[in-house]
Amino acid sequence: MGKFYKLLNIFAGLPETVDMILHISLSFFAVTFVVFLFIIFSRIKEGMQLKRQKWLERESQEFITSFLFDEEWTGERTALFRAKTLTTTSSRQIFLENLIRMHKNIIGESSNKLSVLYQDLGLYQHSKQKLYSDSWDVIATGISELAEMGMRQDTELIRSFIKQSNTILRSEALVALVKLEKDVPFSFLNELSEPLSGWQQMQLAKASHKAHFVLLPEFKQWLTNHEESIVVFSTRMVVQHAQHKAIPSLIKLLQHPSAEVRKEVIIALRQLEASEATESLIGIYPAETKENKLHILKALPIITLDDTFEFYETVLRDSDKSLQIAAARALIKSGGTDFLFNIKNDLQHALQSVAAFVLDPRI
Amino acid sequence: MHLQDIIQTLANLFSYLVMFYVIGIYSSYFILGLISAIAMADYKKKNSFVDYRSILSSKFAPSVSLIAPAYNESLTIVENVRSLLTLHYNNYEVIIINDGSKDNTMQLLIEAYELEKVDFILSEHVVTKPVRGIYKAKNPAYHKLVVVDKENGGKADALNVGINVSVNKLIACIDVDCVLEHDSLLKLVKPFMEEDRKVIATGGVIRIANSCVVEDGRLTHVHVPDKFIARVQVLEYFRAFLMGRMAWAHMDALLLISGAFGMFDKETVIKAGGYNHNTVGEDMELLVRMRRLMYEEQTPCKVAFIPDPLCWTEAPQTWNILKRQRNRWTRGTAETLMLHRKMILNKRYGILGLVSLPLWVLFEWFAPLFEFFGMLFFMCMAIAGYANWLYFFSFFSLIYSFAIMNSLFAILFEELSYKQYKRLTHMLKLIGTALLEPILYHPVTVWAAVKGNYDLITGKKSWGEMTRTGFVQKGK
Repeated sequence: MGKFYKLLNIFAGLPETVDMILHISLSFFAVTFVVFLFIIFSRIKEGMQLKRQKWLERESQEFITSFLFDEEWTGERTALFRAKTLTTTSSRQIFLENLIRMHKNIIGESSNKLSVLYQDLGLYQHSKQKLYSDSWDVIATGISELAEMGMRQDTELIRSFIKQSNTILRSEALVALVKLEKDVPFSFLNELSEPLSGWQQMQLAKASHKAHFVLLPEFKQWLTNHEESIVVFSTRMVVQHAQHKAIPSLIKLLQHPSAEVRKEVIIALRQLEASEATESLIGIYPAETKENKLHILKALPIITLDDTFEFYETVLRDSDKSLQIAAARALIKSGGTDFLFNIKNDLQHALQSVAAFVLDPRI
Repeated sequence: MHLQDIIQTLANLFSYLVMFYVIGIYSSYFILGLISAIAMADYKKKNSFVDYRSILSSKFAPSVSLIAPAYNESLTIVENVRSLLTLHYNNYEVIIINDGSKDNTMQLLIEAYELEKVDFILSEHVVTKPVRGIYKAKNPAYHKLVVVDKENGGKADALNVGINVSVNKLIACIDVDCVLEHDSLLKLVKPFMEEDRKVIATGGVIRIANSCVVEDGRLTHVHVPDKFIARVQVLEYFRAFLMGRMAWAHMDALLLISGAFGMFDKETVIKAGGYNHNTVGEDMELLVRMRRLMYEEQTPCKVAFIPDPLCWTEAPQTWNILKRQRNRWTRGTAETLMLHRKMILNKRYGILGLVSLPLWVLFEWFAPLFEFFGMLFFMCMAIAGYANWLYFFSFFSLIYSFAIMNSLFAILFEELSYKQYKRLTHMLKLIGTALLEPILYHPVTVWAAVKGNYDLITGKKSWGEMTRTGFVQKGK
């Protein structure tokens, strides 16, 4: 005790600044110790949570399998599982994740049975409640769960989120609509107030690829949309769903003021092998950006049945090396290999290196 | 006025200066830590909705050219290239630049990948040292691989050659001896696809691979480094990446994407003139120049940062190599800040000019100098008999307690985010290291930084070779 008072006296006798510095140091040490304890306890807590999660996952899988394949399954067993196991929010969430994982991998009657189970276990309410949360990530999770479990009755509620400022929430709502609106998919394209990012377009394309639509819309209806990203996305969708009827509309889009849109259209015309676009592509070539010129040279030999040798020869006289290479490659695809071999063998020819480059199969 | 009064006044002035500086530096750490915590929580939330596999199967994913300069890498080159060729990404090419290696790096590559010289037409976007030859593999299994043999011109020059050879719009520049996470390209590409503003670069977190186990070019077991020096660097990287760059990126004021692994918009890189081979801090200099260009052109842009661990690198394990590395880093930082001094406190360059660059000058470049000269001043005072030991020890306790608190917070960030060190003993080792770092390690890095400044003034330009011991291979 005496030693402690002695120490206190030393502190009391210290100058004010030193005293302050020491107090701050002590608080830093105290915070450090608290952080240390937090790290240790969070590790212990996490270990316990992980253990429980694994147990619950096992239980969930066993329950779902029995539900699907046990012919003498009764509603009481469902009610009992709900009352005994799904007692907390976290246990409901773990079970739901397992249910969704299984639902994704099966189709037909089993899939419908799981949707019924989803509702019987009160998980539908669990998901739907999330849509009224204040936190965007909880809402997005709820939307994703409803979409995965095919809850078409909530389409309109989900639709109300497509104009949200939060990008992720908006994306989840859009993807959910693609999954749920089997009759009129993509109708939301008329309502969007924000551009579609490349990432969102990719997610929508993926969802659309997996969806089994009753009626696929004609994407050409959005090719005249004022929003550039919707035009780009619709162009890509025209290709993904091989909507050849949209080719005339695509050709018209070659006059679009945006180089990015024109690029997508040129790519689409190539992928659709739209031979009727040959003249238009050659027509816009001189005024195009370098990138688009390269895309035109890539597209022409694939779409055209006409003799475009003369055009490629003109491009070969361009001073830009990459355009020369692209034209030479187009020539090869159009059957001009001999022509290039002659150039390659003529060591004095100005285009000898270009010919050698494009004729090398390793490059 | 007596000499004693003058010294006393000087000492008092110095004490106040130190106090204000310390308050400034601690406040900046505190604010950056806070912003990082917010940014990290936000990122984790957003990332929980991302399925990177969708990029793999998408036709909309951009193509990437991976550029890796190699100089005297015969020990690991074949394995490292194999690892780069097996990354999870669909549309990418791997460009290895043999920067005039004195060993048999090139020969090993030719043999292992059945390379043949081809008549490649090179675009001269950036001026470089002469290229001796460009090689492609005969075996179609390695069709993604392009190897360039060139005269030695340094890392920056090699990267510039890679830019000239690359055919894709996005380039990822890496150190060939790094081990990349298999999904690293998927993660770096994503910001380029999702932002409404033009993304000019993305960077990720670099981790220390010392003592970790590498199997078939993949990191399979994460361990805390056995050596103290490398272990401290684990903490340094936590602090720099999780508590520093995360915050700078959140404020759109990031100045540095690590040279070990970063992805860039090629068009902007070329417009900015490529890598500068007159500086040893070519990674920082390029990014500052790119951002400067965007400000001058008034093009809104973004530099993104991914807090996920994407790339594992071997850290220096000996004091000499560490000192050389820190010396070079100091020169690189100082050179970049001097080259772009026009931007500092210039409102034309927004947050970069008004916040980021001034803080880098004050708390990155000047901090070790301030520490060193402060210590020197105190020693002079002590020799002259004017030292106030009570102040000294109280001040030391303040600095020490803050240093370990900061490290503990860095460990906490790691715990709550990626938790790469799974075992409790790993964590305890790191905490023990944090206790020793301010006394054993920090003075050495301060000295290396002071030496770096001296070398900069005297015009020393050396890179400072990094001797690597290689990763722990399973079964060896």
